[in-house]
Amino acid sequence: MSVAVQCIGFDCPSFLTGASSVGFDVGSSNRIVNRTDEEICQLRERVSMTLGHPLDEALASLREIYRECSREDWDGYGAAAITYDAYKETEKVIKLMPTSIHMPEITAEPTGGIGLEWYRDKSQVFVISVYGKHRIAYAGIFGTNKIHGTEHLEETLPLVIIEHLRRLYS
Amino acid sequence: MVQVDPSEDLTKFIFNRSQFSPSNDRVKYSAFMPPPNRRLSVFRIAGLAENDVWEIGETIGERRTLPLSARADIKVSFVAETSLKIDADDIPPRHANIIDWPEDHSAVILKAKELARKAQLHLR
Repeated sequence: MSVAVQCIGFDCPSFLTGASSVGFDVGSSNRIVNRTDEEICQLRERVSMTLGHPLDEALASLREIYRECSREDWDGYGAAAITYDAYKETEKVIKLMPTSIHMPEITAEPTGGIGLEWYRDKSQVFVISVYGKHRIAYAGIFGTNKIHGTEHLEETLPLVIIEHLRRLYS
Repeated sequence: MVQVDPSEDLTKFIFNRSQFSPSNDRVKYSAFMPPPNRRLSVFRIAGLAENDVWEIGETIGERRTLPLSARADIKVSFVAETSLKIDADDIPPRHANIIDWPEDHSAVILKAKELARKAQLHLR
């Protein structure tokens, strides 16, 4: 039996949340984790086929951009190639997004980074930039207020990024 | 440095589909980010007919074997408002670069975002 649990706002788990293995021996817990992961993947594939899963669409868009832009001069103006590290780190960032947050539009930057852009309108927009160097540069326009900065990326999304996204969608 | 009239239009030719959004008719900031040499290549299009503008972009695309996808037009005055400068080198004719970008990467993104939101997208 499954129970639907409503999550509200930005307290939702990220897409990267894995199954817990506490309370079992190593062999059993590994089997349970693997089985659970397989079932989650199968469920996501079924949902994706019928509804179009935003996470899968975002990851597909990311793969396409990496395929097109992982060589020098992909833009005709001397752009740096997007590196595998930038691609994998962006994938991780997307999976770390709380499930309640809209999926961003993804774009290639000519300096070799990958940008994730949340766009509400011309005066409400937030961008993060990922280079595969464990740092996230960000910039936002919130009406007449403009902000920018850089944060270190570890195993979770920096709180300041979550707060700016909350501000964008408040 | 050649003076450029603030009322002039500049255009940035776009050869990558991830740099604009046709669904909501907008240019993304990445189209206005400078490459590693920190000189954003644009063309001055004052007085040109629409077809002539596209012709410049097509010529560039042919040289670089990239299909032209779109262009983003922006007024010189908007560039000045973001404290960036224009170096009109005229090589090739009508060519210019947007220069004087900040060192900090996040500040560059913000400037590019400001330009993008003032730009007008034209699809090829």
